[in-house]
Amino acid sequence: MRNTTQREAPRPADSPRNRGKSRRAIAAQKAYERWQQVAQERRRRASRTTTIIAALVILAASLVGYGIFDSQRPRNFVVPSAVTADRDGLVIGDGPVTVDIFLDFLCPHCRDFDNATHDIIRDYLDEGRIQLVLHPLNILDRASTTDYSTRAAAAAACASDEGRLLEFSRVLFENQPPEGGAGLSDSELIELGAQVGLVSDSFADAVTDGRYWEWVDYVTEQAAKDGVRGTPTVFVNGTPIQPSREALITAVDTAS
Amino acid sequence: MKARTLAVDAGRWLTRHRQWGATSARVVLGGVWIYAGVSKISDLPASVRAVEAYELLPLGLAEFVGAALPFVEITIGLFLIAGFATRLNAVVSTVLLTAFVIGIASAWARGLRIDCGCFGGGGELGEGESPSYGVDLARDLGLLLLAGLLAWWPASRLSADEWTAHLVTPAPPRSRAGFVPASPRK
Repeated sequence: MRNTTQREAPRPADSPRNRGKSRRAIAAQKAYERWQQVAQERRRRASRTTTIIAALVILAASLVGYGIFDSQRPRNFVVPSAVTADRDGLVIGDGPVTVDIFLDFLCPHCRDFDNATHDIIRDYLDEGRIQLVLHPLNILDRASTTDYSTRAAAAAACASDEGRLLEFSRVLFENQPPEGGAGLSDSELIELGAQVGLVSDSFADAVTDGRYWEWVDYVTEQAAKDGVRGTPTVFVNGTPIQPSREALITAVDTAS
Repeated sequence: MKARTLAVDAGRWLTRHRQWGATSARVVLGGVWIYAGVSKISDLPASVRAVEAYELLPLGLAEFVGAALPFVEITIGLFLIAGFATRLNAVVSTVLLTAFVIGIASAWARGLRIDCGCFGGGGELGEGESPSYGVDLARDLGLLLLAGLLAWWPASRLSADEWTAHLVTPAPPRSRAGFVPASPRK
């Protein structure tokens, strides 16, 4: 048998648990329950509002980030005179075999690779067997306090304009500063240039003005897009090889 | 023995005071997000390269993710520490961390040799360096668990959410019949 009170008036305040309570107590209970509902509804609405605000702020933050990145993207930069068609590498020689080297002048393994191969690369160029394309990157900028990678790479581009890239690159590696420090100053870079015959004012000015800084950003961006994930990365006729003297000799011999 | 008793006690205390547990989860998770974001924000191109190094996203999308990520990380970190829209930020954290776990696991499975780029850096590792995928995965899975719990139980003490709820709650009705309403906080 069902309770008649419940069927006729299913109001919580009239439920059997209130039997025996005074009218006032029942009214107070009702008021309290109504208040609870109102409070819950207002809290729910407030929480929905804060959620929407937070979502919009997160969305805005992501757009700001992309906006800043996009505004820093290299545009209208000065390009060195001897570059590839894609403007992303410094060209020496015009032999039939193309050797691409992606390097960072602060990277110790790049120095090791240069120590191991600079003489044969020089021979290959003298014999007209290869075209060398150097891609100086700045991926280690945060490993020096003065963006040494960018400045050294840009100085190499200045040396390339003066036709002494190979010599300057060699002297940069011979005097490579340790990671984590301030690197070499611009005037030290100019002095190193003077050691390999870069004595003109135009070289010194180009280094001091940071003429090719943005170009280095561009080269680094392009390298990442082309799948270069670290330095040194070496390609012979577009095929990646191990960065070692033996691998380079084998690859160049096979290709020519 | 003593340490174990202490751990058990701490566990019981947290169960009883789950909202304080959520507060500590907010601070830990928020702190990690802010640290991760700050370590990337000064070099956005490097952040983009770190994303590109996973070779999972098309280039344009990798650019957007790499550039936006540090800003999003700092934003949700600040929201979590303030306890503002905790559930949404915990859910966003869960989504991001899941994506990171998938990315790292897939880099590991494909035999890539990259730095996860979790706190700056990124890209291929040099000779003699070895990837730390195991450590990165364990850390991200731990944070993922924390974020999941926080998304499930977002109510926490010392939070903007708690304060907002307090502000919008009207005063309880006065009782003239000796009816004492229960505390509005459950």
